Amino acid sequence: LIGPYGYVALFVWALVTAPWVEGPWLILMLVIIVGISLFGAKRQRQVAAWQRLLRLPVLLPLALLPLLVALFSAPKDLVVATIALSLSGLQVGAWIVLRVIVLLLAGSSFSAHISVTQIALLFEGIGLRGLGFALGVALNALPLTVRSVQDTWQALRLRGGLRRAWWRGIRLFLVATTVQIALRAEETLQAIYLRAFDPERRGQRLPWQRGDLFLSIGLIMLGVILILL
Amino acid sequence: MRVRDLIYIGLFGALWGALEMTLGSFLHTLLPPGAAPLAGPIMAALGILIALIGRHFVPQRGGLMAIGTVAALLKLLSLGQVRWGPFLGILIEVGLAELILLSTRRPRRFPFILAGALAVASTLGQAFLFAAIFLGQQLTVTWSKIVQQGRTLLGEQLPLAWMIVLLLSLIYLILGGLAGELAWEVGRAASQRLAHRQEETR
Repeated sequence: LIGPYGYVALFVWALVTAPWVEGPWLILMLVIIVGISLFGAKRQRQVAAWQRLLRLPVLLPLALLPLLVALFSAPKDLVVATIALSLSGLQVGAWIVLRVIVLLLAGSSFSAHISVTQIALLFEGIGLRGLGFALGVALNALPLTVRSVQDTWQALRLRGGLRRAWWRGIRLFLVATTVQIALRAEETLQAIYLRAFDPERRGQRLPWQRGDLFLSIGLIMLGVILILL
Repeated sequence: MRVRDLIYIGLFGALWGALEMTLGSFLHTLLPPGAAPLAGPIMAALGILIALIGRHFVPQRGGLMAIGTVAALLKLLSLGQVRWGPFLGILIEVGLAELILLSTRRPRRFPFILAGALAVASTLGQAFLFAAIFLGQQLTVTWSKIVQQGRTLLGEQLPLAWMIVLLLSLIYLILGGLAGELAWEVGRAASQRLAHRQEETR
């Protein structure tokens, strides 16, 4: 029922609404995001993505944040093991953590339901045509690009190009790297022409699902209400 | 866009993406604590340098934005988990630079310098934007954080907060301007070298 556009709407809604919402309304947002994420076809992938968030580097700062805010806020109206804390600071810290969790879950929902190819197609849909093809070229060229940059850097370093006239050396390194990229581009172009490949012809589009429109309208209305409350 | 342009977009996007994945991930560790606030602008300057060099070979409106988008998508892919800060950061930088270049069809020196300067300076504004979006933080909180970072970087001698932020902005603008100037020089030199090579092979 819900397609990529629906999850884009959910993520944008969370991004726009969360900074304006405080208190228990953030819990409502959390429930909506979790509900919609589990409603999709890629439920197992979503649960796995959430499980990846349950790690100490993510959880520890979230747990410590309210305590830190309470420690440095005034007035100090709570004492825990001889440490003076602010009750209102604790509450503010809790809302910040909740807001971060809302955004984390919305981001995780987006990435679990939409592949990088679909993100590229989304960009094509808004007028950046051929981006999917360019991304494919980039992914294929990535290892070779890294290797060629490393080789050029090593060659320049071994010839002492960075010792005295280092600025000229850096400029030479950039020119050499750019020329290599241009030569690779021409090779790729020739290969594409030989195969009679036309990226424009493949004009794929992301399909709109029935639920996408209803979900988008519902989220806009709810977002307006939450911001006004 | 022509197929040639799309290939160049892919290759220069890959170069920026590779830089973000390797150097970008380690720069915070490599830099000494006092210079840590410079990690963002240094990466922005290097990224916009690559994108502006690429713009020499993709003389189309939207070319710069497309190179940045490919790099941002690669960064998104590389992190294992989705982190929207770097992704949106790259898009903002390249979007501002593209706005400057929209006024010129052919590459010219001054718009390149201005585009580079604006893209790198935007990293300072991004701090306010992301703090507001992700943490619901007030502008004053972010302001004092930036001032503190500036004091660490520039020393404790500067008494006024606005002076620190002004000086930081100036450093970022100069860094970006240098990236734009270097991109202009390198792009031209590489184009000349390629033209010379083509003449020789004929």
